[in-house]
Amino acid sequence: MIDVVGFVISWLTIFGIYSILSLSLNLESGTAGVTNFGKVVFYGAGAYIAATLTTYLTLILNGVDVTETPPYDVRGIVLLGELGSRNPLMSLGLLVLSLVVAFVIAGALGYLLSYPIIRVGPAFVGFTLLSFGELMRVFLQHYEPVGGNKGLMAIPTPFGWVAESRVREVAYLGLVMGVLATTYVVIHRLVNSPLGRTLRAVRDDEVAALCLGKHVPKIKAKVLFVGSGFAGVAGVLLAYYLTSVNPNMFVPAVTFNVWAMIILGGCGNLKGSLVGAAVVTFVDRVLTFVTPYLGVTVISPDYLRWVIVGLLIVVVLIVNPRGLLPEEPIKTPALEVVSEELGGGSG
Amino acid sequence: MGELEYILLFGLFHSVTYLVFSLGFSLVFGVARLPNLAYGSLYVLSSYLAHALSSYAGLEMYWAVPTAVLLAGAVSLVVGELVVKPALKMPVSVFITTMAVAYIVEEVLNMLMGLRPVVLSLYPGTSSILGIAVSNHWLLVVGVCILMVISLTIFLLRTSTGRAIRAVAESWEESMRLGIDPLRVLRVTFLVTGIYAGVTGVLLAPLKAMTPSAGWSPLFAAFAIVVLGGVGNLIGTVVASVIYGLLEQAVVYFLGGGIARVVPLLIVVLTLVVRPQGLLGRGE
Repeated sequence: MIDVVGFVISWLTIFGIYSILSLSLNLESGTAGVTNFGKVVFYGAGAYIAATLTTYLTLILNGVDVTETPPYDVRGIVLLGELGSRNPLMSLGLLVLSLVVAFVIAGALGYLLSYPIIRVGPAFVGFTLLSFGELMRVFLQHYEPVGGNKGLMAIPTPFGWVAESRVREVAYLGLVMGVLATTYVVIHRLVNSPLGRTLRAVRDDEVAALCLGKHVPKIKAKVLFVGSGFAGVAGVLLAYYLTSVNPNMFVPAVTFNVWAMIILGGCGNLKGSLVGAAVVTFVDRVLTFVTPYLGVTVISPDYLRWVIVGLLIVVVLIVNPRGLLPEEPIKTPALEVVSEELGGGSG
Repeated sequence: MGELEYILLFGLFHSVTYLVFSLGFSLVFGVARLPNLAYGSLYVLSSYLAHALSSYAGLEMYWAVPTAVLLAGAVSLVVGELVVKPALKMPVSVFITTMAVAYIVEEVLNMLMGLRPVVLSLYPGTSSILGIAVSNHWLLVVGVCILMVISLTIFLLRTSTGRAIRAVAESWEESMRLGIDPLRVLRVTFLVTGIYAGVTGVLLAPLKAMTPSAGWSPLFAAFAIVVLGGVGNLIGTVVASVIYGLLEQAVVYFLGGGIARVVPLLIVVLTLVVRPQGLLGRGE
């Protein structure tokens, strides 16, 4: 029998994590027009920050000498399994610490990376950030303290002390949804603020925005800080959800997935990002869940994922380039008053 | 001393193949204004096609290889028509759609052929250059590549289609005013560059094990070369290819193949920070 509840919980958790990514990408690309093809850099940075902080600190706080038993070692992994779920307060404290540190570091990384890219055209921005993603992956593969090619395993989860596994899953889902709600509110406020309107101006006509006294490079750097910070947070949630990280999780295909979401949903529309994330993660989860029941080994349904998502994008772009939910016109309180008065006057 | 000669020789050999590959990439970049991310998959596709034609359809190698190259050109044409042309109005979409094509090709090859690398048969024999044993296949590769660079140069400088391509790369509006149809030029560009990617693929397939995902690293290399040499600058591309090929072989020799993947990425980043217009470029 197919585990329906388990399916829904895992789908919603993955949906939540990817929605944070797609919302932040929509802020950067849909609203500000920065072609960020290196989303995976900040996502991966967040995941690795959470993994490294949690595993090392869990061992150190329990009095283990990490120079002798590092967390990527077999003995370290066994120890982490024993120690990880012992202290609820420590697990939750490490979660909060990881979220804050990941937001700041990933954000700072985005801010720094904006330096070489703001001087070149959109095609270069895209390809350069894509290159950065690969650069990070090669670095992680060869950097021993974070486990090299194997990555880090047995990351203690924030709810590891809960005995019942279903309760643990639901609690984690609650956490992801809470972070998603926060992200949505923050980005929604940003997009509809004066800064958001400046961003649209920059996207639509950079020269005009410059002429009106907007410091375009500074604005882009700011947006990359916020967007990358949230991508880092999504990475933290992924690391705790999977309890392991390795360099090959952060291939350029992840970025492509997120772009698929905002293109399907509609660039510049935040609700569209949620819809896009729901569709893409649903395809992904269905294929993952169905695989064991198919009993087919010749053609792995895993491969089908890219074919389906790729075809979806090409079809949407040809049929309706603006996506399922197109960008809405800007609404401000002042504009509403004016339109009401005009409507009242004529009616 | 043997080391230095080895690096120089194989560095230059690789440079020539990178030159052919990145010239095609640069041509599309110039005309369509955006990188064709499906370009790397054409390189893979042609060698898989040659393999399929020779081992399943029973064609002789000297028939299978040209057919595979022409098919790669045809696929490139279809990609240009179906995927790039409708997306030209939304520039970012070209990125996404060509990336989607690249993934579709990769996964279809994964499904049909599995993860086993494809190795085409080598041109037999070895020769000795500067006391280093070199497979005759490398000499064939270098010969064909030099021929292709020369013919592309003549095509671009001397024929009317070549001139039209250069005009469109300079300015779409201006060339339309002169009576050139940019969409026709786009079609020709995709056909020609597909053939160039295909030739590099079948030439290198016997030397490097070809896997469905093998197209990404030459694609990053081509981008690094185009950035380093300056967009639309032929001499810059030649110089950048030589620098890139030598540097890559030196890194492979001293530090190993895994780290060598960093080379194109570092070149891109350093160039953009220090000299965004490229070595000999005029800037954007």
